[in-house]
Amino acid sequence: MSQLGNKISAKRDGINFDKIDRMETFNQFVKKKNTFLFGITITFLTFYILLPVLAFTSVLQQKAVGSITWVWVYSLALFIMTIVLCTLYVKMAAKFDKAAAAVLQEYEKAGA
Amino acid sequence: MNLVSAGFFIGIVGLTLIVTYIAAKRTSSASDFYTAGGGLKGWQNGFAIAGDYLSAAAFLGVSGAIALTGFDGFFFSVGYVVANLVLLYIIAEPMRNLGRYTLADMLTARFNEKRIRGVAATGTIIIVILYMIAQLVGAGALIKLLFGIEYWMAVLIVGVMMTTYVLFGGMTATSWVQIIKAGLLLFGTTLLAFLVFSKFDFNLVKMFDTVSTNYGDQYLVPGMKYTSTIDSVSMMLALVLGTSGLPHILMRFFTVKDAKTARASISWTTWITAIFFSLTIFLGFGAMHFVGFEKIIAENAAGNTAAPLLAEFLGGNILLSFICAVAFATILAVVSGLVLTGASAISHDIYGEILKDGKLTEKQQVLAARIGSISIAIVSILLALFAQSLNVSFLVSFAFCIGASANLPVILYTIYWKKFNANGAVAAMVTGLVSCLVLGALGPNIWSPTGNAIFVGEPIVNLAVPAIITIPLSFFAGYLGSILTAHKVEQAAAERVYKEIRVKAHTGVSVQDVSH
Repeated sequence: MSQLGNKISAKRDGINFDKIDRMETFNQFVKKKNTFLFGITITFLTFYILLPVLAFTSVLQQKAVGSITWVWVYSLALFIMTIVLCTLYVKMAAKFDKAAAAVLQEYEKAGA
Repeated sequence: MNLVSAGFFIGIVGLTLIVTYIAAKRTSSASDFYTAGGGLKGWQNGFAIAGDYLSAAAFLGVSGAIALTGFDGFFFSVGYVVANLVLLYIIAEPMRNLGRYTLADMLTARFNEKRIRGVAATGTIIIVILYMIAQLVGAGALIKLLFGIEYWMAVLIVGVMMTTYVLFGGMTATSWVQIIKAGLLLFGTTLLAFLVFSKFDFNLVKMFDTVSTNYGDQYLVPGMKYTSTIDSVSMMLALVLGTSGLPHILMRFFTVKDAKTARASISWTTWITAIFFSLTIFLGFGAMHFVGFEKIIAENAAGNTAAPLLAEFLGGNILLSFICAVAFATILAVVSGLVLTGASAISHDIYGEILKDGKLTEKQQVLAARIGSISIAIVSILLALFAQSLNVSFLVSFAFCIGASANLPVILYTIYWKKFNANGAVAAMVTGLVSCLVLGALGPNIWSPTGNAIFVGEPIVNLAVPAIITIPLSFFAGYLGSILTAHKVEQAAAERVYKEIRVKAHTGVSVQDVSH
């Protein structure tokens, strides 16, 4: 993407944002990307905010393994969730980069 | 101060000064000064952002809090770690694609109005100063404790050091000080945690069992410090959303060349912070068991010296000196980043763009940035000297609250909402900022019937961190402001700008022009 980005930016004044914004491939890409981003964000924020909610109830105050209570297990799960979602994002973002590059390529071809 | 600790201390100061000297040679333009010329690599910026997270409050504060209150201290750790995801998923890349030096730059890319820049810069300055007072007061007390220097002298030493880094080395020096410190801190914490874990035969259950049998189960569940669900939810919201609204964190995304590198930065930060904050459990329980409450509280009521005391137990004077030196580096690095961010708001936003219409030459910009740095440093030092006897540690979570309320809603709307307009932006920012300040001023950190706070009296708002009220309020104000004034905005022009924003945010096209 960055190479293509460079190429286009060289003639920045010439970028027709309106045209890109109306392209179907662009809108599909943005919609797909935003659905993914906000879907995941709402999911992890929900799991996250359940920690202080549940932490004060007996659900998470019971012992899980030895003296380790479920609040610690839940917190650890949030740590693991963070690492997993971070990795997932980097993977997905690489795909989004390709989609963005394809959009710009299509725009170039159509004759800016 | 003995010979060993003096050695570590001088070593750290020397190393950071060498870095500053090298950086100074590379700092000639405004872009060099504010964003290291946009030339940091992903891992470098990742360590630097991690360095911003791992302030003295995080390192000393969290491990001390776990030692004294068990799980309640660990809430912070979870908040800091998950906050990475908000940055990564919805903030980092669009921010990099749209901005230049400051948050205001990013907002004015869509709404090119001076009032937007003015409000955003004001918010930045307020957050920076509050955060800095907390860091400096903490630093003064800590250095007094660690090295036996008078409070005013400790504040002055930190003040002079931070000004030196920023003044000469700009963002390059600030970043490298941050990177070095993050590396040292990660090493020191891992070492301490390893030593603690070895004493429990590398058996996690044994460690928890020890805490349970010797000190009671109440340390393994929340409730020692936080008793109200709503208070904790509010604080956790401020932590997770506030990180993405802290100007000194946001500014870090302009130090890399493109969205891809911004993404890589946060990926690094996520790993570093996840590892670091997992280790705080070992530091906390280690201090609880091997140092003991009486000794921790005798040194510092908030437990801020729990980690250094643990280091002394585990590795004697050498490890103690090393950890103290790392703590010192931590303080220096974080306050330097704050000075630079404050300077960017004063010199770039208010002076350069608002008062001088962006017509300053490169040389004038750098000069303005340096004058701005000195001013913000002097104001902060004076405030810190004045605030010595006040309990200001709450200001850290409070800065997160303002970030989450005044900055995050406006950032999200600007990137993702088509109908958002300049009036909505001002409404969101002002509402977020004012509601935080007002509710905070009426809250339990300022008012306490028992005299634990700044004034004696009953708090009117019983939320330590009012995020749960102020964040929705700011989102609502932004929405209402935009909808109610929609008819006053010229639709065609507004739509054209939003299209450009949308294309840029999602494809990164022409970001090269923006950064160089």
